[in-house]
Amino acid sequence: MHYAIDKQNNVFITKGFVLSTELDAGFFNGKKNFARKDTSKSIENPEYVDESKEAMQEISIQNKLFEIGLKLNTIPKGNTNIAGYIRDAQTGEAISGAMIYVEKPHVQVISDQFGYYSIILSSGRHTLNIAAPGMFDTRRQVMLYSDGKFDIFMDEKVMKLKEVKVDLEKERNVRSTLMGTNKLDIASIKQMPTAFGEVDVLRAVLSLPGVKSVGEASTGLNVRGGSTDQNLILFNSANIFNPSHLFGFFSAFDADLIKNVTLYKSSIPANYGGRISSVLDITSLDGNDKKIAGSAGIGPLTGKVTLEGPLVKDKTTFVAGVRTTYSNWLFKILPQEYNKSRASFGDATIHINHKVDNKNNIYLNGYISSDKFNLNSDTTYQYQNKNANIKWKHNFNNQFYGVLTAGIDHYDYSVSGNDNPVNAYKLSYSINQSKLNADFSYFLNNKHKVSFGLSTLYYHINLGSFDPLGKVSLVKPDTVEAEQAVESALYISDQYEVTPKLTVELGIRYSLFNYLGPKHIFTYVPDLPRQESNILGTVYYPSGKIVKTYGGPEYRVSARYSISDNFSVKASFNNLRQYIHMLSNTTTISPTDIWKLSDPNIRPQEGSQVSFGLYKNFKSNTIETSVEVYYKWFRNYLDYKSSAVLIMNHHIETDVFTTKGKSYGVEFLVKKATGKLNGWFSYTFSRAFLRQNDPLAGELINEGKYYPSNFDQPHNGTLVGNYRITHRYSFSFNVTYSTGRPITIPVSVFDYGGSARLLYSNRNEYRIPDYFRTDFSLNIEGNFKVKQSTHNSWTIGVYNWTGRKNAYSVYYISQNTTIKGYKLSIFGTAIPFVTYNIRF
Amino acid sequence: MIRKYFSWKIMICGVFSIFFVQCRIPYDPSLKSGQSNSLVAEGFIDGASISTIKLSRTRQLTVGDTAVKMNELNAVVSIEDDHQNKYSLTDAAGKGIYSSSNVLNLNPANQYHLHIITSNGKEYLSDFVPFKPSPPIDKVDWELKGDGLHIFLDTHDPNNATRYYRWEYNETWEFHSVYYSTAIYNIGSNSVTPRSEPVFICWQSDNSNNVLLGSSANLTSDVIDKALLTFIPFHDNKLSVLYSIWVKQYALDLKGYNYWQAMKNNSENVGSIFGPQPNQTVGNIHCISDPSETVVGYIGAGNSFATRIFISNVSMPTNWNIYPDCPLITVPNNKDSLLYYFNDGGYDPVAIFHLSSGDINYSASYGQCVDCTTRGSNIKPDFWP
Repeated sequence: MHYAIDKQNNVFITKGFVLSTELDAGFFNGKKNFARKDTSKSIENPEYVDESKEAMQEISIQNKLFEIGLKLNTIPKGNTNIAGYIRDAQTGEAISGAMIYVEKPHVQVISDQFGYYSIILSSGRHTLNIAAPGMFDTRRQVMLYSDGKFDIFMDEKVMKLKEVKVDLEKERNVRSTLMGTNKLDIASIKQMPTAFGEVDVLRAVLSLPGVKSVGEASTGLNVRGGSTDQNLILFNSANIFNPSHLFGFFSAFDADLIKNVTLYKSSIPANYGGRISSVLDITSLDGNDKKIAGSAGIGPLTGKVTLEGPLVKDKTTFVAGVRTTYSNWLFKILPQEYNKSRASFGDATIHINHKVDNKNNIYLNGYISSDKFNLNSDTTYQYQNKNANIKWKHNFNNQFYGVLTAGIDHYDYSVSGNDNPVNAYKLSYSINQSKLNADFSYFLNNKHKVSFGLSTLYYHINLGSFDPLGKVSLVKPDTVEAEQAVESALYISDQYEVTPKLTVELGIRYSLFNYLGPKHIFTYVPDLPRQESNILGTVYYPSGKIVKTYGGPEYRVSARYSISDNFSVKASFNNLRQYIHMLSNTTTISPTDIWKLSDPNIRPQEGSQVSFGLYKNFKSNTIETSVEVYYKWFRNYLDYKSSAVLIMNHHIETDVFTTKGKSYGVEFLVKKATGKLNGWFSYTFSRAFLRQNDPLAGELINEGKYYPSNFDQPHNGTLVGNYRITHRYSFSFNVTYSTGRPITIPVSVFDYGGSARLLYSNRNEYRIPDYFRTDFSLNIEGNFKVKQSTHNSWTIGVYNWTGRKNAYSVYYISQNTTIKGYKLSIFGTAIPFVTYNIRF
Repeated sequence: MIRKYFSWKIMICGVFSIFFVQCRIPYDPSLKSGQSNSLVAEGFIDGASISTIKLSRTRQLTVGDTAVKMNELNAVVSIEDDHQNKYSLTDAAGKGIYSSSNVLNLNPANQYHLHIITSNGKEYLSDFVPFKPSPPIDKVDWELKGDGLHIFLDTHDPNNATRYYRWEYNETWEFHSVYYSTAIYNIGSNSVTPRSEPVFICWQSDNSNNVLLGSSANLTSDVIDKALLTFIPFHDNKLSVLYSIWVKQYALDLKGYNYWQAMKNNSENVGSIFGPQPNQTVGNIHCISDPSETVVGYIGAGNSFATRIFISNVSMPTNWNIYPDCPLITVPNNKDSLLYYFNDGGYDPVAIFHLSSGDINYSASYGQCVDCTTRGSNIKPDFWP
């Protein structure tokens, strides 16, 4: 990194080359003299001066003609394929989602998650335009003789100068066939003010239209009326079951390691499956391939270090990071009634990228996160995620490659209580899944891009064990029988450009789920409520025997029609199946949630969605606007009977019932990605309803009519902005409003059956008060000395600066003879914070 | 660093808020009108004993004393069948308890419902329900096991037609004071005089307050075996002399069974922070004047069956009874002592002693050791042997 200050005190930061704010002495007489003269006169518009070879290359590279293939005297007729990687010129990081574009005739492809592209052009000379989020647009002159490889390096847009021309990537939202997809790059995530200054990936996702959360201490996402368990959260292909730290205040991903975050909420590509609401794909950096670099940061609660760089020059890169907390100091200074609480958490990530040869790459990923806390009692909660996977990418040829992924995902929690040694216990639960995926991409021609693959996933879930803790404990050990299953899928999809204006993506995925023995399955009296008194007995299935099979096709269709260059219409239809259910008495993700597989008594969830959207860009694509409308319906979503017992329940089906649901909404987004003032505003009107239609439930919820689901928050508006005051100071702000979530409350009391009973409102008939929060932060870049090995920055800010006591929940407790209602807020005051970050 | 230190101090204030110090504030949602003051009808259309329907109103949770009962008076209540027969119920005592004047002779082939017109002119009807007779209770029995006495019930329906059962009980027990008192303290005159009404033997009585349900739906024959009615912990005073339990059995239809099951579940938990989802199952009574009005209750019909058993302390282990700490003291006959012990001190006189000196003094002990009417009634129930 370099910086320069001109005479108007404008500060310029550059990466990889030095910016001179003045012309060199001797510039006009042709002599190159790079010695800076402080007294020389300033100029209006800074120019790049080729101090480094790389910068020189960047200027001339755009005009250089690259000859690809076997050079011939005459240009052969027909088509030629070129393929390669798009990378960051400074760090070697692969750039996904880059658009490679030829104007005449109009041909366009987008790089995949490895930064890989493949394009077919007529032989001869072409100008490739390349655009990617956060990168300077560039172009390459190519002369195509025959098929060949062509890697493209792009420069990072370190700062947005006024002169920066409008980049093509803004058209992405208009041109892509995907709809309901939001991609956040880490730079915009880092700008957002957050509680305790902790950069939080999931909270950034929460600011997107259609994404909600039931409360502040929750990073559980409700996407378009779906529940928190209906999101597939992938971190470098690892399935993360509990993505939160510290009772849900923070997300479990270290933002310094993350490259980008993509949320698919309406068109879900056919290679993803297993959840019915959305896919949140988080990818880490690949690691700098030029030099060892790193960063460190401290905030009020956490400290973290990240390191990246080459292990073997041009072969292997790595990125690794650890984050840990020292939050216990907080508890020690609290009043006595709280100061016995303890909490600790940490996470570690490693990603290794190894290039075996031109055709083979290997990627290794490891992730671990763990949490331990007790809230002023002798009950300790612990949970952890552990994930590892290996990917092997093989390029068969320019147009065809495959990726083989093998991985294991683990999640467990335990609760131990030892306030009385006689009753001391430990409750534990764990999920293990092993998976094997083979995914292939075939760039048939510029009109067809075909993806296909198959996957298999083996689950083994220990549904809970309750054991004595210590020698004197009299707790009777109990174990809920473990369950296992295999979920397999086969998919194929084709992205087909029918005409330059119309592109369709057709996909089909067939998923198959086999619930396997050894397992005892409870059987119930047919046609009677599924409750304990109606248990007939159990049937035992020995190991390896298939207990139950579910499966079916899932359709993924989307289409885009361009009305003009900056205006398009998109539509999509989706159909998904989910064979795992999260059982939670709370509406958030909590450490004691149980994931349970579908079994003969619990059917898989099925969801479908149709959506339609209009995308229009204004002012030369600097302002993006979109409107999306969706209607979603799903069935076999589990809701809970009154007084359901979920933990250590040997027959959970007696405490749950299935519901069908529907949700619909309209999402407006206005986004300005460039300029001094940038950010977005989103407004969503949406409703989400459930309806009990399970004849075996034994009780009817709201007379069997549709009722609002726990996350039905009709109005939701978010404003996220960043204003650059100077090049050193910038100001970020967030404003969030949403309707309070629905709750069921006791409305009156009466006497019946010899005792006082409570009359509850219809389920979710009431709402907690509306939510409103404003945060801001000031980001200060450190000093701008010429030669320094480290760069530092400060962030100071206030979370919830209006101090509004937003309700998290409303509850009732009996005091003397009266029952009183209370409202609980998590962040009931304005919370100032300071963080310090250093890069080296 | 000064900046940082300063910020951290402010931050601590924020952290306090995380731990709910100032974050729990009273909250009263504005309830929709009609959510409280709903009509509650409890009872049974009974062909085997007096049919009784209790009418009351729901009360607000957050205001006032929830112990105050709101009985619904002056309603016109009748049982009707689907053959235009009508039987009136009256609230003789003015307590909102509407009873038939005698045991109704109901035709088991007919369907029955309850018709209510409240004093505010609103009209309510329950759904027609089939007449479902209860089979007899085979036996109510008890067993000493674990740390107390389990009282249970066996029943069966040879026609396999009942399947769903509900029970209510009323328990009554005789208990004795530790001392047989022959003297009484009179507050007005601050004096002790011979007692005319004995307070040594009393009876106490209690109704079941849990919803007791049973189902044989998962059995090949309609048999209820050892359904637990109640549990009396070891040493409990209920079995210090003689105990009796009167059990009434109702046959339910599935809808009624589900209604009671939901009510049982709902009353176990008052909405906690992350408490389970409560809900109110709709009963079978509707307001025909205003169909949107909430009405609580499920009215079934059938023959109930009731039985009574006695359990004597003699059948219990000899160490069942434990005696409370009841020291006997002597109170001299002067105004101050009488005031001190009997008016203010919670003592009751046991006996009057005329000393040879001509003085009088009194033996006394704590009120609960002397006067059983502090806990029960000294009127012997008519069914008591």
